[in-house]
Order: sequence, then C-alpha cells, then structure tokens
Amino acid sequence: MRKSLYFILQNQNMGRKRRHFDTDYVREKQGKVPKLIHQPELGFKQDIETLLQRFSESGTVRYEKFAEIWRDMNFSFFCAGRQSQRECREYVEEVFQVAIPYWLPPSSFLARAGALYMLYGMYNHQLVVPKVKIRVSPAQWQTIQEFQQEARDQQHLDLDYVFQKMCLEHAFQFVATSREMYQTGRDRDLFIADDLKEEASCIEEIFSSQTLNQLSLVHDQYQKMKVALSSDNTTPDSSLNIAPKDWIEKIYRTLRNYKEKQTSHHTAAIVDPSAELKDASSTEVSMKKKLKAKAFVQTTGFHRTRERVKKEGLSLSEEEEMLSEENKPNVDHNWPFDEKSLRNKPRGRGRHKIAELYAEEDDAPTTNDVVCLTDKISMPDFDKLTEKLNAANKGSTSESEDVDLVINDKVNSGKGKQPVRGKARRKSSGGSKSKTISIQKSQNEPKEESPIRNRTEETVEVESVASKKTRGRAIVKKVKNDEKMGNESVVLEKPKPQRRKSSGKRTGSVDEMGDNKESVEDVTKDKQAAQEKLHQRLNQRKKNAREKTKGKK
Amino acid sequence: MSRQRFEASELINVRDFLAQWSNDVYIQCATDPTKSTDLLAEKMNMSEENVKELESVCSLDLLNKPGVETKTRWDSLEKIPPQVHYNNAITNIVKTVPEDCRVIYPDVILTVNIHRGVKTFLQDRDEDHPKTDQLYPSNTLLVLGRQKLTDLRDVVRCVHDLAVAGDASENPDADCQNYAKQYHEHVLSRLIRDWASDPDRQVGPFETQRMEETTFLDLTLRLGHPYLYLHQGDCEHLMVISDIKLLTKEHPQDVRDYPYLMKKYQRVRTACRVCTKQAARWITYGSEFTPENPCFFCDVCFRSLHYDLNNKKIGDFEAYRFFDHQAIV
Repeated sequence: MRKSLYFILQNQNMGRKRRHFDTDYVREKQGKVPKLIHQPELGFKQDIETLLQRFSESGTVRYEKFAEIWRDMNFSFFCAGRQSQRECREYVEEVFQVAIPYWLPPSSFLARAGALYMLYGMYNHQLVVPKVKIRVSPAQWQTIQEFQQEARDQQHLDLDYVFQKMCLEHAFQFVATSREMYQTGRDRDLFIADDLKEEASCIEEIFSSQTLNQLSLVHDQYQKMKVALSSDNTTPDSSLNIAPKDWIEKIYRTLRNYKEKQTSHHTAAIVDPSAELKDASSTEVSMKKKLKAKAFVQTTGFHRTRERVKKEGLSLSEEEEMLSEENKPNVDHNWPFDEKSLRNKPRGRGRHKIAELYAEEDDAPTTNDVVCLTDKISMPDFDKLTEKLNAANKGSTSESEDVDLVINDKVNSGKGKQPVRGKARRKSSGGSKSKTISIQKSQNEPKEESPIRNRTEETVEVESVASKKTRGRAIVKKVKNDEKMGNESVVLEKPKPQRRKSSGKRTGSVDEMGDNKESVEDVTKDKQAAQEKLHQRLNQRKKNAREKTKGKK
Repeated sequence: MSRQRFEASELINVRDFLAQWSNDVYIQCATDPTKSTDLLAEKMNMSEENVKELESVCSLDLLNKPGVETKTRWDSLEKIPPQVHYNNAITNIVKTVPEDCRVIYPDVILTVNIHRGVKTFLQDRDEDHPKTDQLYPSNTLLVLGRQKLTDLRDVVRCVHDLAVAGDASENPDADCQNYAKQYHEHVLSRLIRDWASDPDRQVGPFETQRMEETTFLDLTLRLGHPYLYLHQGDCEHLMVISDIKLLTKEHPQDVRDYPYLMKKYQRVRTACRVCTKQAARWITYGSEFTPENPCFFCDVCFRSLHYDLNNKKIGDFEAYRFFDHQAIV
C-alpha cells in the first residue's frame, strides 16, 4: 500500500512539473514578455476635441445642435469593441478622466456646455452595469457650481436640466482625488523592458499642450486689455510692449521643431505647415514617433556632432555653437529639403538656395540672440593669431605642418593630428548650415579651379578630410568676415562637410567668389598674406588627399 | 514580478473632507436616485409641464440616429465572452434594512486594499528583492468613516494567526487550542516609539492611540500610501487606502455589512501532493516517503501514509499543521 502510494506521489509530481507550460501567461508572469501599455483611451481625446470644436463653431448652446453633431459622429458607440465587462469598466473610468477637464475652466463657456452635454450622453450610453460614476473632487465641484449658476442666470434651461437630471440620477461621485490612488486593474500590470522605456523629457512636462493653450488664452486676454487701454483701440500702446506679440507661437514652433528633429532623423520629415497652433494631436503623434525613434537616437547626427566635437577637440565655444545651432528652429518647412539633406548640404544650386534661405530668415529672434552670443564667445584674439601665422611662415618646417600649427592654435585644442582626425570620421553628415562656408569655399576656387573641376564625385574620406580643412578655414574666414562686415549678424557659423553633388554649384560659387574677392582686398596686408598662404596650404592638402583616394580607387 | 510603485496624494484629513461639501450635496447623497420629474421640477423651480417639455427637448433619444438601435446594456451585445472574475463593483440587492442598522448620513467610505502578510528574515532581505516584490493583494474592503479601526482589524484574516507551534507528529489528533492569535504584542509599539524618539534619527515623534477608540474620521492620511498593519510581532501587511468618497444610497445600507468585502484576489491553492484534490493541511519535513521536502498533505493522505493501523507514527519526520491562504482565509 505504501509503495503504491509512493508511486502515485512520484507520478503526480512528474505530472505537475510537466503541467507548467511555457504559455504566454506564464511567461508574462515571469516578466519575460514585455507588454505594451494597455491604453484603450488613446484616440479618445482627439474625438472629444473634434466634437467640442464642432460644437463651439456652431456658436449655439442648444442641445439640439449638440445632438446633431453627436449623431453625426456616432458617439453613442464609444463603448463598442470592448473585450469584456471589466475592461469596459476600466475604459469608461479612464474616458471620464479624460473628458472632465473640458467641463472645467479655462475652457470657454461654449466648450464647457458641450462637455456637459457630452458627459450626459456618455454616462447614459455606457455599456457597463452598474454604471460608472463621474468622479468629482471638491475643487472641481466648486467651479461646476459656478458654471451652473452662470447658465441659470443666462436662462440656459437645457444646460440646467441636463445637470439636475444627472445629479438626481447620482451620476456624480464625490471623491477626494480625481483618480483612485491604487492600480488594481489587471491590464495595468505592466512590464516594460528597460530599453523600451522612453526617457521623459522635462520639456514635454513643462510645455504640455494644455499649458500652452492656457498661456495663449491668457496672452490674448492681455493683448485685448492693452488694446482697450490704448487710445486708438486698434494697437496697444508702444510703451506697453514688454512681451513680444507672438512669443507663444514661437515657443510652439521651437518645441515642434525640436521634437521633429528628435524623431525624424532617418525619414523625410515634411511637416505640414498648416498644422494648427492649438492642435494637441501633433504633439501626441510626435511623441509616438519619438518612442519609435528612440532606438535611433544614438545614431543621429546630433549625437555624432557631439562625438565629432570630442574627437576633434574643438573649443568649447564651437561646441556651444554647434549645440545651439542644433537646437535652433531654422528649418523652413515649406522647403522640400528634409533635415538630413540640409545637414549634408547639397552642392550646386541647392547650396545657393539654402544660402538665400538663411539670408531671409528674420523671424527667429532667438537664433540671432544665440548667434551674437556665440560670436562674442568664439571671437579669437587677432593679434595672437597673426603672430602665430607669421611665426609659422618664417619657420622652415613643412607646409602641412605650418598649417597644422596655425589651425591647431586657432582651434585651440592642440590635440589630435589633422590627417588622423579627418580619416577618423567616416560619415560626414550632420553638418552645419553656413552660408559663409559657401562663400569661403568659393574664395578658394580661383586658386585651384582646374584640380577641383577635374575631381570626380568624392568619396566620404575625401569629404571628411576636406571638411576638416574647411573647418579650419571656416573659422579663419568667419573671423575675417566679422571684421570686414562689421559684425554683421551671421546666421550660422558651423563648419560642415560639403558634398559636391553636381558641378553646377561651382558656377554659382564662382559668381559669389567675385564679390568676395573684393572684400578680401579690404583686409590689411598682413592678414591677407597670411590667409592666402593658409589657403594654399589647405588646398595643397586637399590635392594630396584627393590623390591618395584616387590612388586607392 | 513587476515592481509595485505607490503614488501618494497629499495629507487628507477625513473629517475635513467630509465637512467640505455643501448641504445640497449631503441631501443629494442621502436621497435615492430617481428619474422622476416632480423632484426635478422642484429643483428647477418650474412647473411640471415645462419640465416634461424640456425632457423631450433634451431627450437622450436625440442622441441616437433614427433607425439605428443603440444598445445601452451589455447583455444585448453579441459575442462578448463572459467574465468570470468580474467583481469590481457592488451590485446592490435591494433589501429592507431595520432602522437601527441603517447607515447614518453624511459619512464617507474608504477603500482599503490589504495585502498578504509577509514575514521575512532580516538576513534574507536585500535590495534586489525588497518587500514590495512579494506584494500580493489579498482583499479590497470598504469601510465607513464612523467605524473603528478594530472593525477593520477583525476582518483582516491572516493565515499566520492560526499557526500552531510545535511538532504535532506524535499526536496528530490532539486538539489544538493554542492558536497564535492569542499572543498579543503590546510591547512592540512601545519599542518603536522609543526608537523613534531618538533625535538623531529624524523620525518624527509617534503617537499612539487605541484602536478601539479611533474611528477613520479621526485619521489624517495619504491616499495611495502604503501603511503597515503589524501583528504577531513580525507579520507585516501593507495596507493602501486608495479612495475616499461620500456615502450615497448606491452603497450597501446596512451597517452590519461593513467592512464590506468588495474584492477577493485570486490565489493559488496549495494542493495535497497525493490526491491533488484537497487543500493541504499538513506539512512534513524530513519524511522518507515524500519526493520533496517539505511536502504538503491533506488530512486523509497524511494519515494513510505516515501512520499505521494502530495510529502509530511510521518513520522519522516532523509534521506541522499547515493553513493554506486560499482554503482558510
């Protein structure tokens, strides 16, 4: 008997062990399968906003109008497609949480009326039994009472009726916090793998669409008050112009550009320029993009520029330049070039156009401010520079080394060797957008026209070498230009590798070259001589590099 | 096991919360939910006919497209799988409650989530496995504001309360009366207070109050913050109060029902290793007949394996009474 029992025990245990299947459920419990966050209410906000917008546009507070829009949008079916009662309940709770802020200030009166009707409709058309109540905190109830009083004063009987009916049906639940402080829903048992987690940017927290909306509303009010105070009732008094008129739009634009830069590095991001200012969905969409693109963040141009900075050991000022330039919303969205191509700076006609583009950029005061700042920071000491140049020229070292010396000093790193640096960089995208570069480049044209024109499409290596040189040159040039043109506000000064895609560009640059030649002559003789020598050195280097690559080919 | 993260609200004094609302709200909570028009007419200071007219204007039918049937009840939708464990709401069975058992308005209802008791040895605790990893929710209860703390404690049933000390292998039939529950620890609270009063620790001075004299209305607490219920010296239950709301007619109206068990969390039952049908009631250590150590048995299987016809112990083992969460509590 005992033996048989023992045998049974053994079998049972073996059976039990086998019973532990590696099902999805088990794996989830063990945290092996990363779940996506269950968010059934994601699209709902958009729908609410559409509904309320349409209702506000109609201009009337009447229930019939609302019912018409509701029917048109088929809102009665908002609970359709839910998997189970429990899930539907959680969904409706979440939906009420999303909808309630529209009933509270600072929404407009019309929007609030629409929200009230909407809550009435949703409460009655929910498919859960017993019905989910609308949670109201004491502070919210206060504002609601005020709204209802206002409605009663204005004799909006339908608003009053709807509200009283809901109160009598016990549609409201009076709670301390608007959300229950304990996650018990099964679907919220999340496991997100660490590498899928999105780093929440503080910017989104501070400048959420809601706060921006409120800010713009307040700003509008402010403007109106100023106008009312002014004498001619059209424009506010100039003495009251403390804040710029359209600063909120600028903030919004900046944020949007920043987000798009983060998310659309590898895809052609053609932004719809007609996106509404107060459209919250775009931020949400770009946030989704951000989540997808997070995996690519490490390989973006932004990251690479940082790497480049470290490798080449550029000065702090230039780092700042680069970084500030990255953050500037300098992209005109009507321009069919995408971010990536802009960085790569197409040659030829494209470059010329871009130069024009930046010349016209005058509605971005932030960029100017930053540029001025970086100008001041990166302004090198001219005397030292010329001394060094002279010293270098007098020395009997090889040409390339002279150039090295000059550039090294200029660049203020004294670290790496240039040829090494150039070759180290393989991909040279993520460059700057400098019009003066084009000008500078063109200045070298006359000296080495023939070799350049004979050049075939360059390889990446040549580009990198060339670009490194252009950087050195660019800095010198920039200094020169500033001096010449009297600190004209130059838009961007970051040197970048330049891809020559067509020879057509050269003709354009030759034209520019003519103008710049004249400006060159204005400089003092010392500097001119030194700089010309610099050019020669650099160009020779270029030649050498080209020959090398040609040899490789 | 996913890490549980608690978000806590600011400090809320329950009594203040109750006092915050206006009289209208109290009256509203205390009245039955109705759809009648006369009450509505009263509220809106209008005649009944006007109200009826308004009703037709603001009717819900207007929201439905003509010809399209909008279903307002779940049951009538097709292809919805039945949810077996759906127990998240209170479906009130309307029954008449005797006068003295009715709830008193106005009052609040607190939602208390209690977790299973955890006993860990100090040396086993390390950063990789903080206490919260072992967090298994046990029950969700509703308590009235006017109820005392002891009412809640009585309902919290912990398996460790029933533990019987000592090896019962010699005489399994002995009637056990000495359940652990009887051993109270008054000393512990004193110890903690003394420890906290040390100024270097910067832990605020703690106050004590008797559980049988304090109601929930007297408390000032944070929602979502895990509080501790400690009994038996080291059995710790985390307690989270997740919600405070005003009592309305929709909640159960009988005081005797509170604390109201709203949700029982599903637990895995430790089954007997032999028959796998009954819940385990004995746990053996060091038995030579078992494939695993320790091993769980139901009463019948335990006696048939370890005791002979004369009810004498066979072999050398230790046996303790085992109380399974699911079966007992």
